Formats: sequence, structure tokens, C-alpha cells
Amino acid sequence: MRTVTFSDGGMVKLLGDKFVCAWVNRRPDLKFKDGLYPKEWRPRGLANGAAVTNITSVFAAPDGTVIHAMPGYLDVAGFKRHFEFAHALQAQLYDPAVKREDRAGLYAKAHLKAAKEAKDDNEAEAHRLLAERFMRVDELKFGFFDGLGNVFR
Amino acid sequence: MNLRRLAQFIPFVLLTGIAISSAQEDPHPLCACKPREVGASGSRVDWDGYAKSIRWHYSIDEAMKIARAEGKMVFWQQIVGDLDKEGC
Repeated sequence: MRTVTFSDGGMVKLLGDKFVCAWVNRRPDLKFKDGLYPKEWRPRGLANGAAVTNITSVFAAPDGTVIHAMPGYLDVAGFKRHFEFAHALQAQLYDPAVKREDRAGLYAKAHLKAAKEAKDDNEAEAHRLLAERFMRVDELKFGFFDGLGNVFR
Repeated sequence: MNLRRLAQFIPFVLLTGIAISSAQEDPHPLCACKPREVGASGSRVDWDGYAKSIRWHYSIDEAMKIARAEGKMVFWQQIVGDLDKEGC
């Protein structure tokens, strides 16, 4: 994503304007499985959702509450779609008219609705998994989406 | 006044005056000119994206602290594996 999605000028501006960005590599020494990149591989990015256990994008509120997360590679259009979902949900949850104790229910409802409108099965299942757990970033373990695919094991 | 001593400071004053004058006139403190790219019209224009890239933090705690101060969301990417592969 860094050479494709995050190299897009519009994406750079979007992320700079709306987010504080952080990244962590859990196991930088882990080599990709043979065959993940075919011989004819060209640096144009993967299909959306590929490499579900290799990359997870997390959108969180400033207080550390996970608003949305999506495993796998996201191209520019895919990333914008998920950003818009996260941005709208964050605005809804932190609306002054919404009580703190109601946030979890609204969060679950939004993710279940998104699961029905998802582009593919992986995305739908990711939303369903998120709907079950309203959590903070330190509670989102990297293996949270492992059930969706297994690139490295 | 000791004129010899005063003379030692004159070069310093002159250089400082030149530096201040230059700083006030220079619109691009990072460099004399921005890199150019071919614009939509086909002519070369300043590259608007110069020196503007995603600023990554390596600590989620630090990112959250800054996000609270600036009223922004946090985008956090968790990655696993050797990223030296082309296309990562």
C-alpha cells in the first residue's frame, strides 16, 4: 500500500488533514510465503482484500476507540470507501446528542448494516466480527481477522 | 571606544544583516526552488506535493496523544512481514 495507495496525492492530503498516522510491523523478519507473488508480478498493488493477515488498517477515535478496521490490501478507491464509513461512524458516535452508553449499540448496528452491503465475503465477515466487539486499539489483537484467510501459516 | 575591538564586530554585523535580509525575502526556506513537474497544461509547474507526505508515527500512544490535541482521528496500520518486496 505504501507504494500505491499511500503514494496517491489525494490520499496523502486526506490522511494528513484528517488523521494522525501510525504503523507497526509485528514481525518484520517474516518472509512472504512462496508463490504469494507470481513471477509476472508488477508493482501495481494487490486486489482489495488480499493478504488479510499481512495488513490491517485501523481507524480509531482520538480516545483510542476502534471505529473501524479492515484486513488486507486496500487500493485508493477501497481505502476512501472505508475511510468514509469510519469518518461517518465516528461523527455519529461522538455526536454530543449521543449518550456514551449508546455508542456500542450504534457501532454494532452500523457494522451489521455494512456487512450486508459489503463488496465481498471477506469484507462482510470483517464487519460482522467488528460488530461483536466494541473495543479500544490495545484490545484489537493482530489475529482478530485470522479467520478470514491465512497467508503466513 | 576601542576602534580595533569595534572593527572585529563589523563583519559579524554585516553578515547578520545579510542573513536576516535573505530570510525575509526567501519564500521557500527549505530550498531555493521547488521541484517541477509537468502540469495539466503541459508546461512545467511547481510540484505541489513536494515535502508533503504522510507523517508516520511509530507509537500508537504518541499518535493518540497528538490526535487528541489536534482533534483528528487515528489511522493505524498493523503489518506483518518482510516489506522489501516490490509493491509493498
